[in-house]
Amino acid sequence: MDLKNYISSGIIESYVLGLATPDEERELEKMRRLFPEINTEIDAVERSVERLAFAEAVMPPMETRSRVVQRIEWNEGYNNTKTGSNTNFYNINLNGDHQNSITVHKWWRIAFVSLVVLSKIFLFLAILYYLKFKQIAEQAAQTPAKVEQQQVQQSSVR
Amino acid sequence: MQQDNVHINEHELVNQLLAGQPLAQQLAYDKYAAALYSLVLQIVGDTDTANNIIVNLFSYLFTHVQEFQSSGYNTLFSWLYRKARELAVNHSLSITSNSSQATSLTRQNLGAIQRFASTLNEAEQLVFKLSYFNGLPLSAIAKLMGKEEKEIDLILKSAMINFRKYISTHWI
Repeated sequence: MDLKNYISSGIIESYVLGLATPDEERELEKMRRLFPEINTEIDAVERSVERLAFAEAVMPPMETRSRVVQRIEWNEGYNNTKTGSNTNFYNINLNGDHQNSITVHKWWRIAFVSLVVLSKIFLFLAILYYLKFKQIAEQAAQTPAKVEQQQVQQSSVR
Repeated sequence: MQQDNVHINEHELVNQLLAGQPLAQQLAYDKYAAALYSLVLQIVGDTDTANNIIVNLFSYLFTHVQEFQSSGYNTLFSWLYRKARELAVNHSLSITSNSSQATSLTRQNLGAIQRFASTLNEAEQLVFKLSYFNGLPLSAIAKLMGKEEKEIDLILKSAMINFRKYISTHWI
């Protein structure tokens, strides 16, 4: 393949813009190993596109930088914790094990606590009324025996 | 930020990024974010999405910088430029596939690449925009335009030859 024609075919520009197909990229890799001039050309096109991009740069909002810096600090804290150089950091895994856990709304916590408290109250009342019922039943069982005993005592006195 | 970290060359910057230096990571953001943000904005069209893509792009850089060394790119910026375009295009593809607007070309502002595209003939312009801004593969463009994939490939190659001429007269 004629090197000059290959370079002027636009393949390098296509590669730098990310439009080359995987086959074209493989071919370019092969060619740049054979011909160092191609590497020089790639470098020149990369720098042209870089100049173009910097010429019309638009500063992202400060909030975006803060988010990036925050991630850097998190990573730094994580690395320090791993190496044990700073034990003041705790890592919370926000991406839990999705296969074995579920996520529910916070109102379910109140509902669950209320359910537990109510179940305790009902259990207490059930035991209380059971004991009272048992006491009354015993009293009721004892009452006819007492009346008979009194009648017997009264008739023997007469 | 330390003064000696501000003016380091790209080779040293890459080495420090590989070592996971936080100051180098901030420096990389300060150096490249604006140029990449402009590219992403041209593709996705709204600032919130562009901000998210920039955050994800730099997170990717900090965790995958070793990939740059085997990427074949000579400059870190070119590698980031490609990655930024990929992220933006993937986002646009997911939006367009959900809203059935695969041929929408309305999001791009008038950036330098757009100005170059306007110098192309109608067919080249359409193929280039669908490929560069919308990230469609040649097969999808061929289907969309009712042409052979080989024909679309030739049109895109012609557009790239014109791009080569364009940058040699405008940006070198």
